[in-house]
Amino acid sequence: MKKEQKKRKKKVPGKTTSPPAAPAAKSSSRPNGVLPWSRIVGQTQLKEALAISYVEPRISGVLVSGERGTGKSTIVRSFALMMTDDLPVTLPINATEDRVVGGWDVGELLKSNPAWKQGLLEDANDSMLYVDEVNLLDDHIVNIILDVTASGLLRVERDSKTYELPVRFTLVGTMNPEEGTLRPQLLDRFGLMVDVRGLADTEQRRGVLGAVMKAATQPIDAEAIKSDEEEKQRLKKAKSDAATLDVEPVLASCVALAQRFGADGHRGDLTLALAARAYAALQGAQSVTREHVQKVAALALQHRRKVPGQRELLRWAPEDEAAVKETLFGDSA
Amino acid sequence: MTQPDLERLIDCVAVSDALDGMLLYGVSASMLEALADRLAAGLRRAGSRHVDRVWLGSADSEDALWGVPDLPRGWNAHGALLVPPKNTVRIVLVPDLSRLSLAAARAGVAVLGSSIVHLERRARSERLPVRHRWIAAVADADIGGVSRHLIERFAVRVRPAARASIDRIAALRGVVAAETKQSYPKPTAIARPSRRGQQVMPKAIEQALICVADSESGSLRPPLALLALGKAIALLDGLKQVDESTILNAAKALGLRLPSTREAAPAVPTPDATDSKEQTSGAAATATGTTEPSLVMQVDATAEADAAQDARPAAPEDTLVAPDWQLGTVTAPVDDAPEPEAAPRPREYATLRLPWQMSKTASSGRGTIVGTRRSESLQDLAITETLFAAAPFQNLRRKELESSSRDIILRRTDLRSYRRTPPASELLVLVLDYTSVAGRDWLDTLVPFLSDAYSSRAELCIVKVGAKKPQHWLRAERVLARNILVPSVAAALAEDAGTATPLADGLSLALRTIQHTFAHGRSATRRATLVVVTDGRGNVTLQASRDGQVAGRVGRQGIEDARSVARDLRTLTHTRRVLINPGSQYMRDLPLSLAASLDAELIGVENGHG
Repeated sequence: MKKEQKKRKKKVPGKTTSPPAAPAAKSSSRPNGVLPWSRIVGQTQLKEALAISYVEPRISGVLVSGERGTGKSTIVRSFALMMTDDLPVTLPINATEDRVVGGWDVGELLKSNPAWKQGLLEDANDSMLYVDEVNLLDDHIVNIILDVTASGLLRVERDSKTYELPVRFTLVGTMNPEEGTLRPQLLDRFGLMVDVRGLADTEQRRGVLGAVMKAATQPIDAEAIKSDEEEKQRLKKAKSDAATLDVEPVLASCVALAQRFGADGHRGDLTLALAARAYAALQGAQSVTREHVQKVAALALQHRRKVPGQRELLRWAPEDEAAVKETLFGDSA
Repeated sequence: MTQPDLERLIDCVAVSDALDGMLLYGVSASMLEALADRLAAGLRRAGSRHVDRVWLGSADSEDALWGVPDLPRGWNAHGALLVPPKNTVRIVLVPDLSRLSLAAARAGVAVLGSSIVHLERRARSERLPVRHRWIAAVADADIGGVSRHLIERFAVRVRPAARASIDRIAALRGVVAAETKQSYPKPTAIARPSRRGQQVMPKAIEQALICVADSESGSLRPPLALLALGKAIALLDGLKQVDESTILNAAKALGLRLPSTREAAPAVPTPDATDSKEQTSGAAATATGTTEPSLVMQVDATAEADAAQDARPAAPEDTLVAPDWQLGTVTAPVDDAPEPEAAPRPREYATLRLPWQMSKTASSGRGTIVGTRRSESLQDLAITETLFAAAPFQNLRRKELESSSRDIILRRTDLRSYRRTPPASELLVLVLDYTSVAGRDWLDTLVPFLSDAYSSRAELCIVKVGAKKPQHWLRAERVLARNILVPSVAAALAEDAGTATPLADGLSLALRTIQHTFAHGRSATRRATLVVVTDGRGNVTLQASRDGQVAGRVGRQGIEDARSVARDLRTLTHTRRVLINPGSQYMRDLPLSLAASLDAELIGVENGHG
């Protein structure tokens, strides 16, 4: 994290550039309520989506939509803790614009020292930007995030200061659809979408409760820490392996699938291909196959489907899964 | 059935950080104060060095909640409602959750159940530990108006016992005579929570899951809250382990009526013998035997028996530890239970989303102020915010201009204007022919339109055709509402059918409303949706409605007049037209021909009779 801060300091231009904001204080122990990654029970699709987005950052984000109390936020935080040893850069729903894109440090200004304080979008560069309750975010802030994710460029023109720098981050948002959904433009910016549902399996529910209770009485779980470290290494290896995998054999399938579901533009095709490759790498496969595409189709397409006359997102249904199968493998499959 | 044991619950909240929110249905502000007194004492005994309290209401802004820049000193969080001083636990009292400000409601969602909160406001970037205990109240009638998302964040949700009328009089007499502040007795010995906490046995987890076995959703917050409560009870009772009987005690403290198979399970007796208190009937006996009047009275045996007979299952959103517990056996006290048919709850709750900004143009100067934003012009200027924005730069600007004047130097980048709730840009017109839907389950068909109206902040116009008690039986009536949450909307939807059906007059009223809205000088309405619920059998002519009297035989003239007005309605631009056919057994072609005249989408009511 500190390394990243130093790297960003060089990027900020202008003679009045000041040291970036001090990173948020790391807590010496694991934050309350955040389970180790290896202790998370169930929610396989969400875990896979986060892993895929790490392996292939160009996917540019995961939207986690689901009902209350399903552990959405806990899982995202747990993933960030495993990969970075810290909580993700978090954009709260009441964040002001100066904290999102950066602004003058008021405390320093009052001492006649013009110091610039970088915003959360810079803080999250090369990392994860986490927005809890993303559908409750101020429209104005949403627009800023849209601009930056679309262009990969943070252009700051405010308070007599102008600079720009390339910014890339994995946007992870959680939302409860009861409070309304997102605009299609923002939906499309999330590479993958996971529709999280409550665990129906009693054994899994029991497992979750047991893990939470255990974590409360055993703050340091050496076994889990070891497992998390192994998983982290596995993901890192998959990230480097993914670049070597040839995705050419499935490109036609990706396009056909995106067309079948009426996904606008090319982002659907691209996300499908990148996600399939990342998934293949995570599986340790030597090549990307249509089966890999099939596995990630719901993640990449469910929020890009054309739903005429509807404002609500439809859940991925067995018919959609059948359509994926038919498109990829034909009727005989 | 048992009643929730508020004192014990408050003590549990005092010793457990996991139980940071408590929601009480149908209690008064004075009761919250008394509970806060007890909670404060409990927190101190549990090891908190400092405890203070704040009240949250309908006007609290983000700045009031999180602090404001206090220039020239810098950031000032003192006085911020949700940022307590160091080493202080803050009790946050919400006297009416349904009237909580949007900023505070959003803060509740972010804070409750979290150990830290991220603050990224006005050049301030912090992770703050959350040291709060929220106690909120909401009236039964207002439950439907609160976001379920927010309600669900409260780990403990209870409906205190109803007071039998005889007890209320006694309590009132006692309070008047004593002229003292009502209060709860201070908690007795409370153990300090240890870092490791109590060990939770697998059977306790099993028991917690059994308690929520009927839950429709897969949310794990309810069993987790129950386990947290069990741990707190174990701590209070000096138990080292949390087993299934502790969980049963937790459920009991919440006033849950346990399934019969589990009622027989042995319960660990509690030191303060709360069980025996629950057996107390009738008089306003206090929970501890003191002479102070109790705020929570036991329902006497007769009342409880009556309640058991008439009780309704508590709705998911108003039941106990979580809305989706679906403990079918839980009953609400009959005194408190609003009749669903008599008092329909709002079908939509107040959203936690910020108002949409429909236009990027400068502030209109109308609408409620909900914040500020940067501005390029002087229109609707927020003077204080502008000065705050300019203040930090004054030293630099004076230096730059080599000015020694103390005047404030303003630049264009300092300008801030008010951000206001935008005027409605959509209009939903519902023409409801009550005579066509009597006995039918038609409201569900309207839900998508009401939802859209809600999410787009549409204005509403309900045209009542054939209602039971109209001002004039030959005329339709109109109800205008600025949004769907206005109570008159729910009332209009729940009206009974009368005899006459002045359908043509109703459609005419709808036509005039839409035309007026579009043509009105300062109206911002751009789109309208007209939804007509009718079987097309108008039996009052347009002329009769205008004259206020029937002249001769009506025949099919009422139907033909309705069609004629419908043809006028189809000429409206920017208007979506929908006809909902309730599915009458007679003259089935009428709705079809009316829909054709309207050029409307036709939707049938499913399931016919309700």
